[in-house]
Amino acid sequence: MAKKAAPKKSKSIEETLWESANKLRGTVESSEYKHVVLGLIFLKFASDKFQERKQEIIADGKEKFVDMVEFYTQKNVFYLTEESRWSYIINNAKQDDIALKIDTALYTVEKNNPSLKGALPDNYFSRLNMDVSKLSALLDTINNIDTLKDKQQDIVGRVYEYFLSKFAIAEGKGKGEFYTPKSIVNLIAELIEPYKGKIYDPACGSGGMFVQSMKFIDSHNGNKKDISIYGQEYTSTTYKLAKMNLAIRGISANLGGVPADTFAKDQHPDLKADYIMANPPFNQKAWRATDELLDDPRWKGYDVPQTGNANYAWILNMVSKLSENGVAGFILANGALSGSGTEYEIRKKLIENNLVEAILILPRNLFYTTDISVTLWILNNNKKERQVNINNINKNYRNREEEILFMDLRQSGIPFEKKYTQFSDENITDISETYHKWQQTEADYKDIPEFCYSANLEEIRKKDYSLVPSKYIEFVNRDENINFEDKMKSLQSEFSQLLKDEEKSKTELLNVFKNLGYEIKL
Amino acid sequence: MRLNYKRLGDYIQTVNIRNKNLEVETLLGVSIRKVLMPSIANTIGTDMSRYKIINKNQFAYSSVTSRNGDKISIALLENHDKALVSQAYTVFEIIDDKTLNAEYLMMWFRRPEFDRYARFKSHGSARETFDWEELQDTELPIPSIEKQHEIVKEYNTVANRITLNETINKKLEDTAQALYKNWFVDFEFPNEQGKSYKCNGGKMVFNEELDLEIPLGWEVSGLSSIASYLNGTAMQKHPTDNIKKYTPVLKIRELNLGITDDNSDKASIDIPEKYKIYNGDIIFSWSGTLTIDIWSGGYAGLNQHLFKVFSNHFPKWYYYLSTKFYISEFIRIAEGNKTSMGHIKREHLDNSFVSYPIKGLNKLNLYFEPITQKIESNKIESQILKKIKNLLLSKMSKVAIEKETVC
Repeated sequence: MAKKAAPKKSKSIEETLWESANKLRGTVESSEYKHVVLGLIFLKFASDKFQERKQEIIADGKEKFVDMVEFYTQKNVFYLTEESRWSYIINNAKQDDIALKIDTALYTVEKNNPSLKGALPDNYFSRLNMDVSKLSALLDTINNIDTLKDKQQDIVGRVYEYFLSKFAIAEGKGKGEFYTPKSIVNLIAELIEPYKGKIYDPACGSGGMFVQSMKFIDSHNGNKKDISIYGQEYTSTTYKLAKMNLAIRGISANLGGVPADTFAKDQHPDLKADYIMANPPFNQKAWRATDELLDDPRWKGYDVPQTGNANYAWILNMVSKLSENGVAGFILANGALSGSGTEYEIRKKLIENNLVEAILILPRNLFYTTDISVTLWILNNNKKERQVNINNINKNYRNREEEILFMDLRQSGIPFEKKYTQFSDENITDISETYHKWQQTEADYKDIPEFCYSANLEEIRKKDYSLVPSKYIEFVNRDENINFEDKMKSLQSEFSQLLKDEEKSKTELLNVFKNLGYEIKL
Repeated sequence: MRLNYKRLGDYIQTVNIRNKNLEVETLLGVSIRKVLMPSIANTIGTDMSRYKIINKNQFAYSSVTSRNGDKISIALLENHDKALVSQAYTVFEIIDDKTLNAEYLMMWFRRPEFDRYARFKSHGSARETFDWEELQDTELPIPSIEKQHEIVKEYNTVANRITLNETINKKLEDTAQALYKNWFVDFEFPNEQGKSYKCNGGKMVFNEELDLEIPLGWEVSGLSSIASYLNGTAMQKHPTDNIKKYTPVLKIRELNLGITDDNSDKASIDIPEKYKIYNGDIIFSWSGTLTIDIWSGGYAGLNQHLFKVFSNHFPKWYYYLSTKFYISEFIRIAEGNKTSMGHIKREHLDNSFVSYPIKGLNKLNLYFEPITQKIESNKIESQILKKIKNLLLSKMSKVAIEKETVC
């Protein structure tokens, strides 16, 4: 397709900011730089909120309470002491010890606000040895973010999200795993519809799944108070990103006391979650030693997942944490659909236990870290017939106990940032509607060749418990539908004209050779 | 329709013979054009005894279909008795050639729809594979062996005709160029008595531009004076949303293919008239790969980096052959100024001189026109034959299976 010559559109705030911030990166590694920029954005945001609240208190004639911490925390605002306020940082931006001042500011904010425990970069700026002039220019850039300008727009949230995605793209292959591209998270949220109850993400990265769930509730006019959040993250810098990301949006969450390995140090051993959303590391090797975690309660009733690949350990961790009606939507590498050995044994049991609800195979190039095609799994602890009221809408689920919905989405998606693919809003609507229709009675779900197929347990047993969607979804050989007759007729007339012309041209050609004195005798 | 389809697995089996005694040396690989070609792999220090031997009428295929242009690399060995392929390939053969013909099966694999099928049925993470099990599960119509031979024969008739056309065209091009050089460069055109002009004492005069003698009554011009070289335009500036009426874009890729296809860009139907290209137009690619050709791929829009060459005063064969005469020189120039993409400039066209008789150039039409016209019509015929060839492949899916007779 010829590309449309795009009209020069005005740059969004995020883009402008990103460009100026990125120019100032200097010699700092991209993976380091994100903590610098995001830490400062957080500080700016917290300061703005603080100033706003301070003005409110004064306006209420309660000036004498402007330094009472409770007056801030009750409104979900962080209390900042003088040396941790943005104004103080900006006033000292040109000083040689600005890095130290920023570190101090961040340290103080964290100390005074227990909910930020372990959330902010500590002693980061002093260690970085960033060029002072670049750092102060960056402060000026961030100073231009008006976080309060437009409450509806969630400017700071947008900036934060945009920067996370840009950093993930910049870090590219093998890194950037703290961020799951937005369209995938959107798709999972639209499929499993997390309205109320407990949400859990066992490998939460920078917390994108939670943010998106909240946005989902918002856009469907639900109540964010009906949701509580549980997560776990192994990498400590990423754990901080998640804490900041959630704090900025005023989302409270339990991410466990410390960053830790979900398998070795489960932070939520007794959790029963209503919704699980996850994009755990793909094909993790050596996630446990051969003699470790053999009788972990999470694998109860299943084989112990093999040491060479953690995919099924992630699955079982999630299964063990599903509440009675819990639903999980997560991303795994395609290998898990047909893996052998213990993977086969566990898969067989999951299927026989009626846990697997839907398997969706996704297009390549969705991720910034790898170009492989991956699978979205949906597990459901209760596939029986039941009525559910979701956000004041009654849904009549039919009994799907011995059925699995397969979808092949490898051909969907639209180009993004030249070399990536993402789901468009239409794609997401189309996919989630198909799935929801399939779940409900009196909905007109239909199998569509090369797109979706509802398989029953018998068919899956016949295919020896393979969950590869293309083994079930019908392929359409388009050759069967060509109109041979029509095509041949038009070629016939073209060709007969040609052969007539050819006779003439052959005669002429023989004449040429004859005139040149090299006659050809046929 | 599909009720008649048979499972391929019942007709084929894998072959795994290794080159233990190092008896075979020809190393081949399968291209995405589905032919076995000499391998370009570096095999220095490789133990060739582990490679697989493939015999005539056996197939080789590579199961990995990801990062392979959405195609499956699968081919039939036809031109060698024995060859080697890497152990990464699966080699297989037909169990009984009285029930399934190898060329017939290869036709089935050649269909673009088979590529789509193989991609659809591929699975895996980093490497998506269309494994042996999936290949065996492939279903296809298998009519009587006579019917298969008939289908193969039809296909080969068309395919051979295309090859014949290409061979004839190569010869015609050679003939035209030899004639051009002999008459317009060596000045041995037939004189009044039909004898070669120069070596029979034809009158010559010195010419400054060429720095050599030319026949009396002839003159010399730069290429840019005998024809217009119109550069195409960025077709991106003329986008279209209309999927029914559009202009397929002619780029270097299309010039090399000889046609526009589904993968060609699409531009608006309302592009300026001068950039519209039709059969018989002379197209000259002046950057990257330098070539000149008579276009026969039907209506298209001229993209930048390509010239349309035309003239109101000189016959087509003359400016076509004149430009072609200089093409190797142009290639040399382009290679010399390679920064990123080697190309030539207008000045090179201005300074490439050709000579011609002031009067009577058109009298020579009767020698040259039949040749260039024949080349043109052969090319157009080949395009139609290619369509027929693809249609024959598609038609296989609908082959009527005769009632199986009980023997």
